[in-house]
Amino acid sequence: MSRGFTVFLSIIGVIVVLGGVATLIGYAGIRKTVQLKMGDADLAAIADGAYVGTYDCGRFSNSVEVQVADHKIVGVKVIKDQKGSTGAFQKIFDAVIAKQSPAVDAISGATATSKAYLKAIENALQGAR
Amino acid sequence: MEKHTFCMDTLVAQMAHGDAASAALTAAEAEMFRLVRLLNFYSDDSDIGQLNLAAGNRDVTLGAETFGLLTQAKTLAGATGGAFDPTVGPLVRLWRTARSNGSLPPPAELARAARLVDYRDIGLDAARQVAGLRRPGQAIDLGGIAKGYVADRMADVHRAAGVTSGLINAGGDVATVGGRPDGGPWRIGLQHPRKARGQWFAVVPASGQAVVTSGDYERFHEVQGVRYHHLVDAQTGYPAASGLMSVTVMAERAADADAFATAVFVLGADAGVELIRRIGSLEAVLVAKSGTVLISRSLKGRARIGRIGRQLYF
Repeated sequence: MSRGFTVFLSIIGVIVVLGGVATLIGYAGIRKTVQLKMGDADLAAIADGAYVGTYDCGRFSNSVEVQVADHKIVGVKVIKDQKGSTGAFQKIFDAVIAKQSPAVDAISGATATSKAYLKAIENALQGAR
Repeated sequence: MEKHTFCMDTLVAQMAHGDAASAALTAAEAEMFRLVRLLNFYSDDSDIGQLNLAAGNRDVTLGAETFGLLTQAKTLAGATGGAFDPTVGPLVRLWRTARSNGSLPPPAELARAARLVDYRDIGLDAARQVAGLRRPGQAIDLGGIAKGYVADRMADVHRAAGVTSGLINAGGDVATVGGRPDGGPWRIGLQHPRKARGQWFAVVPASGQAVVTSGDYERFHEVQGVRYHHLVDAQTGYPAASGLMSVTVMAERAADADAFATAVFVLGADAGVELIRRIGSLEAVLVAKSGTVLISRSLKGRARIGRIGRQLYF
């Protein structure tokens, strides 16, 4: 299994957890979302909208909102108790960081928002498929 | 060892080497969370939120940390002649709303907001840790130095824990503790202002200094084909049109580097270079829209600068 796909599964993992405690959309919608994502590893069947739930990672528990637009995850917003990243988020970050060049230790001025990181992850996944 | 944390709407990366590394990374992350909660200045409940609500009306007692950061911000505003100004809040609000609507702020409102920007209206009483804004409608926005400040404090935690080789990268604001574990300086790439994120045009060495870059390529929006970036010139109320694409400043502290990078960007090449020279302890790399790169003479032979255009040392 490629690293990219593993990362994608971890994103799905987040959505699955979100699905369990979603507050903004109905149960049927969530179930459909989870099933299709798990089955196809594809966002094509996910309806646009905001998916809110509790994201539990290790000793931290955050409320997050995953924004889906045009069948793409366009953002993951922490809406309550912005705390650390372990577990699934850590894997996502590790994958993005690993793409940086070994010629430098850090890049000044590459201010990334969570949106930008998700875009980068999406691009990486498309390349991995 | 490395640790990555999603915080301040960005990715904060830490590196540390040696026996103290693990404890330092965890402690620095905890310090970041603590400061972010404390300085959450977009919330009316925070110290700065209260100060803004009370503008022109009464003074507010601040926590020690907030008072310290506000004092530092006012000092930096003075040092830059107001080119960096923490009372830019009313303008930031207008542009933030415009950005989310994909519109432009009404010119009359911009003019009114611009008249409210003046760091000299921040009253500070150190003995009582009390602060106030002189005129109604004035508002503090520490967004310009908050990330740098948090990076500084995290680096302090590394040092206190005994780390001699560490690096904090708070979404592009870089603070270093010592140099690389192999003894050389950290190699900090400077984001190319017109290429994809992660592509750099220069590499500067840093051992214990901070490296911060302000550019017109971050946080902008377009209206009818015209780009409006986030670095506002308080004189006009509009995004600074000083002929620069990006400014990198190296300083002892990331908060200072942050403020000076913003100020130089607003001032433009001539006045910006003069400011860097006058302060003395700073090093800088300026990229003009023409492609000309202006570099501190002290970086000659130490920095690798790629070809964007003409290179001039000052």
